[in-house]
Amino acid sequence: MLPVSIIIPTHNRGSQVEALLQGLSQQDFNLNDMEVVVVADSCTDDTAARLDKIELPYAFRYVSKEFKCAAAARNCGASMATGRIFIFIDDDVEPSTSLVKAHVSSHTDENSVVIGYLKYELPEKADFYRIKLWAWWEDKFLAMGTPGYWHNFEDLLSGNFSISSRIFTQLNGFDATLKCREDYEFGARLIKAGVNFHYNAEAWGYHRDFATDLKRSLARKKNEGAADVQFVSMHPDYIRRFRLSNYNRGKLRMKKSLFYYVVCHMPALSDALANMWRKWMSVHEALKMRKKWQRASYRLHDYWYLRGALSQFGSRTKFIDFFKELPKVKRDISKIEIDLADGVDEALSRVDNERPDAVSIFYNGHIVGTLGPWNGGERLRGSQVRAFLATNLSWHLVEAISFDNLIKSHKKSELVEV
Amino acid sequence: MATAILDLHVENLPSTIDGQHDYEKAFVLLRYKNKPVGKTFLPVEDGVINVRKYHDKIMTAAAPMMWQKKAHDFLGWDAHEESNYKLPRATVAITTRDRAEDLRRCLDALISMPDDGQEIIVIDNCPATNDSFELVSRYKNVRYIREDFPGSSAARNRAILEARNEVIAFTDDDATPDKYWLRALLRSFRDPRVMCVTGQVMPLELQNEAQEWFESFSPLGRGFKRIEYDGAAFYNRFRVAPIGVSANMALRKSLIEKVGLFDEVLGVGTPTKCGEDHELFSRILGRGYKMVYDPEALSWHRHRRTWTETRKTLFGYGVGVYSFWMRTLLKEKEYGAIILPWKWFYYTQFPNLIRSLRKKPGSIPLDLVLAELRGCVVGTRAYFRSRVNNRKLNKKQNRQPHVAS
Repeated sequence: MLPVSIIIPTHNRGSQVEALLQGLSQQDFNLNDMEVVVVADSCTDDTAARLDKIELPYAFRYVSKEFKCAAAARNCGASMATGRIFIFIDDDVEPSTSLVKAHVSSHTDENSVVIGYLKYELPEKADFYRIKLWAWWEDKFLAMGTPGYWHNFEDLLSGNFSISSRIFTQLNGFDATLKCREDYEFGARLIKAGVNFHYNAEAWGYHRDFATDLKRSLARKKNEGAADVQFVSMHPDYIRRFRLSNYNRGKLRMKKSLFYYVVCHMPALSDALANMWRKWMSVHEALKMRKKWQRASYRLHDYWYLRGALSQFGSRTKFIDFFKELPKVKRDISKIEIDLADGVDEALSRVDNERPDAVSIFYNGHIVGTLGPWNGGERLRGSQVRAFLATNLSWHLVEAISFDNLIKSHKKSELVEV
Repeated sequence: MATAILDLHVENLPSTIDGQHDYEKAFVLLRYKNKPVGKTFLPVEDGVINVRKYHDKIMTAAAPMMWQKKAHDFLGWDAHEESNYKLPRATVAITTRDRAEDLRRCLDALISMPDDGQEIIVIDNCPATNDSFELVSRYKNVRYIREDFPGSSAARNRAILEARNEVIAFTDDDATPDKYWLRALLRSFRDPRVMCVTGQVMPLELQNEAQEWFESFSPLGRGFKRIEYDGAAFYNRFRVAPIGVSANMALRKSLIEKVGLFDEVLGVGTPTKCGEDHELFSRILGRGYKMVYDPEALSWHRHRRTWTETRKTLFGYGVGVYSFWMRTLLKEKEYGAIILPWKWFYYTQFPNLIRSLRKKPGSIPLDLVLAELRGCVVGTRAYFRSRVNNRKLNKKQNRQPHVAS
């Protein structure tokens, strides 16, 4: 059994996937210990021709399929792969030489999934959307690399991650019925199965995404709205984590409002208006009217999300009933109490041993704060509690310690008087 | 009378400080575990500062930043050490012009910093004498570079182009950086979106009224809390004054291709007097990058000495700000800049003028307000004049201008 299998789903990016394969032959890793499987999904360009001709210094296979679905392509690649660790890389990634080695070194136990870093380079003349996109990516990875980061299901970014093959097959891989959000859904199942999430910035590559722009982002938002309906049905206990739950508020007057009527029954009209607004955003951008651009962006993304969600139902009534009919799942939350007066390291190692969902932190009996429970977040470790105390609860901690000292000195003075 | 400058450690406060007969009060920088946490003024009574008597005042000044550090100590938490970030190598650049005495003090401070593999370069901008060259040759490991194009922008650009390391830390020649100044600046570069980090500036001396006024009304320090300014979050790119000063800052070398260099039309040594640093900060934010103000990167700076120099500084400020706005309007097509002169006048300058005319306590002296307004009046024209000058000079020296994109 080979140590590593690299699985690459690709669609109409012939030159980029060829560059990726050449980049993988420069890895700082024994090339005899790895194999690469490429799944060319519904490719109409020269991908097949390029992959036929290519010569590589490692074991390489490819298949051409007609899935039109990234999840199915990844599952297919995984079924063909024989490695102990699967590394999934998207076809628009330019890998660094340390990518494979870093992924492998982070798998300290079989129960792990490792997220790698995808650097997004900002071109010099970037428009507002590109700046925002770049900022979102880089901030996400910076947060993941911060000590004490609390991993959650939205950290499963399918462009550069690795997982032990045993876990992948045990969980049956991605859900191929989802057209998007299949990565987050897989992440949700991993969190529920108690798999450990790691982030390794050394497992990095460049994310050469030139195609995404505002128009595509809005189209994707519509697909996300539709996919979230399915996602919520599969994981009803995560309902609060979805934008969908914004529409589950009694005061929304969905049935009485003209706006929701039009979106549901005359979507062509609202779509036309939304497209006009999107075109108008380029005027905001040319005049550098940032606030207006931002507001338009938020509202349009919201609109297309709603449009995607509503398209899964024929009527608003059915949409509202969907929420009513969702099973109210009550999870068993494990909660522990720790007291920092017993010693900070002792208290935090208790969290590491017990891995609870929530922790209440005390200092000599005085409450400092509570961390968790967080739906969709992994079970807690000591490092996360420590980071939370340092960044969010410093004031409360100092208050509790001072109050405790105050009481002690007050008691002392009482004794003296007596 | 003058004000003494003191640097005290809160955990090790002396009960009294003697021998302060030359001063009537003391400006005190407070540190906790070597990190600056606050500042306060203490009176001098009969040449003695009774620290114990003003213990409450000191603790009130230090408390807001100190309690958080105490909590971190209790938890054994240090944000930088936890992140395991290897600090990038830096080039420390000093731009100077005929100030050998100040330069010597600055170089002495830099030499005494711990060696993290940094290189030190001195850019001598249009020197009249050889003094700086001779001074620098007495220090080994300090590189001397002569830049004959006038202007602080050209000098700084030369420093960025000549730097061999990935981060360039700037200090003025009349500033004395703290021992751990460089490390504090470099820490914030862990975030790849940060393009520039500015530090805190404390006065090196407060001998006369002009310096005292400068410190109280227009302090070069920006508080003791670390602040991040995010251009991608559409932080107002014209609100750059609170971010920091170029006397104490660090930039990435990748600035050259990502954002562009300092605009040589603006700055000290040109008709626009100043504004090149604000313009660069604004461009960094406009491109979506982040700027960080880190108060732990401390540097002691000598403010302008005389009242005339202070007035000239304010005049230059007016010119520089208007030039910066004009440049941003024309080159960056930021049409929102049109409204800024009216806003500044209506909300800040006009109220200041009225307060000063009515001689209200704590108002800015009238001649300084008028100096700033005079600067504003000539600012726009100064920008265009500077552009013409810049073109002529480049042609005369047969030099390719560093194009700030």
